[in-house]
Amino acid sequence: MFRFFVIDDDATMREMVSDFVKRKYPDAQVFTFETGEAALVELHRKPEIFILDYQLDSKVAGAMNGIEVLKRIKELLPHTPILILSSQEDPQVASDTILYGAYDYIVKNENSFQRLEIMINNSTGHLSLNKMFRLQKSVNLILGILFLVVLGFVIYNRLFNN
Amino acid sequence: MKITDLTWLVKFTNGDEARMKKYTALFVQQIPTFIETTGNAIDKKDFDQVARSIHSFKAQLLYFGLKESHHLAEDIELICKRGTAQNDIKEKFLLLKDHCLQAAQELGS
Repeated sequence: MFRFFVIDDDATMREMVSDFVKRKYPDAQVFTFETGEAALVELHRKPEIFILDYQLDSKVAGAMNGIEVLKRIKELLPHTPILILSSQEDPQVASDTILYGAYDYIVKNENSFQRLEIMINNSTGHLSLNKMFRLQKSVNLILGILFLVVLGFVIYNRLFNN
Repeated sequence: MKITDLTWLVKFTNGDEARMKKYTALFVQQIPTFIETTGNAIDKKDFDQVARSIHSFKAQLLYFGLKESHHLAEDIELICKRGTAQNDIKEKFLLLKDHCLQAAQELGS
């Protein structure tokens, strides 16, 4: 089960993205926010994927833009994938978001939900792999400790029982 | 002739009428605020606000099949950002406003 944060200043888009995620990933938990500021105070919910709009100040004047929010999230949760979903078609904005660590940049158009699904699958795949690697690391550590305990026990027996 | 085309929305919702109604209601509900905010910003010659307002709204135009209106919105946004030919903005916005009002009427009924 993955926890999604959807940040968009447009109410229709928030609903559409949230419903889309819930339909494609029925186990997912989706939290929606109108601004980056509102999302940042809820990071204790441990989001695992962000879907972030670029321009977020159409309703709340002076709200942080997507790049500012992206930078802040990357400082606090450096390994969490952030997908930018924006109407902004300026290549400079797209490359800036990638430069600052966005997982992908998706332009809002008729095909954006197909691309969003692919990118969510890719990023959740990476998350699952990361979780598996972390689990593998823990298993290896436990096995290592167990091996050392057994080895210590054998050496102790040989040294003191002979 | 209808200005809206719900082909994309039907596909997106798999024909789920409840969801279509929900998105349509949200879209129609936002139209008066969009028109008022953008119109006021044009009157005040606050072109940054015009661009912000149009930018935030324009994706929805595509999802409700208002392709011509989407082009118009992109034009206005570009003019605002470039700071050139700003005299055309009011005229283009009035046309966009007509499109939106017609869409609201079609979708509201």
